[in-house]
Amino acid sequence: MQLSNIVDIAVSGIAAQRARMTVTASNLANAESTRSADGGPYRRRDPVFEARPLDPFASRMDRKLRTVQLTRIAEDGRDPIRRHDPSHPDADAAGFVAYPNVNVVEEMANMISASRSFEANLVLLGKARRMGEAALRIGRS
Amino acid sequence: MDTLFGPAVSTLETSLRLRVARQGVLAANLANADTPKYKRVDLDFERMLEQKGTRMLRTHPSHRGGSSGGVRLVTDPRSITPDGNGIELQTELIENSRNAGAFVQQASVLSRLLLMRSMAITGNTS
Repeated sequence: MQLSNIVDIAVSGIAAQRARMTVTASNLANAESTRSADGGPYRRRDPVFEARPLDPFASRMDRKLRTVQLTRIAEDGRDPIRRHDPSHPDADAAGFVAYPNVNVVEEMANMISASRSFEANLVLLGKARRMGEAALRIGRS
Repeated sequence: MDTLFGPAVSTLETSLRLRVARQGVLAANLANADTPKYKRVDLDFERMLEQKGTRMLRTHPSHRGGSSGGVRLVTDPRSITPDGNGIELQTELIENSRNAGAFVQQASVLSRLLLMRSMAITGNTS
């Protein structure tokens, strides 16, 4: 294990959380989008994370450690929310509009969680740096 | 070889190496805090130090004893969430902070010992 490996792991965490934040932002921005490229309202998206080995050529212990990686962005299969709004241009014959299956409260909670995890990984990066500095001071007066 | 501060220096060296390893383990836990089914990993520090010829003393009944060595997979039943991930952000950060703090302290002690040794050799106290 080297300090650079710690940095690699922390950076993977930071990147994953940033991606999660982007997906959440997309969900929030499109909370009212009734049209999308594949027809119908916007569908909520979810990032899917996977634990990946740090380095296949590393020592026996290091091979057990995992970085995190965003493997795909999954679509939420929940049904669109139907709201009665006959004046809306996308309303069906009965006057119902299919709105995205986005729950704003859920997205906000997700955002806070992503932001906390992001910061935690950032703290770790700082700690690794401080350890490196301490190691460099060994032998100096 | 029994040199001045020899055992202390080599123990500190081992400890510093293990602290870096543990920091990596804790970093992996934190990075995977939102990965479904990820299981928390930790180092069995005491056991590893013991294998390297250094023994920690049990001076208090609540001190934890050693168990299977090397990297130990730990699953804490209290922290299992619906996604099967057992990582608590605050626990990891606290452990991480402790570990990094211990590293910095031990590095400075090691530095001081080396300085004292060079004082003994050169007779130069400044």
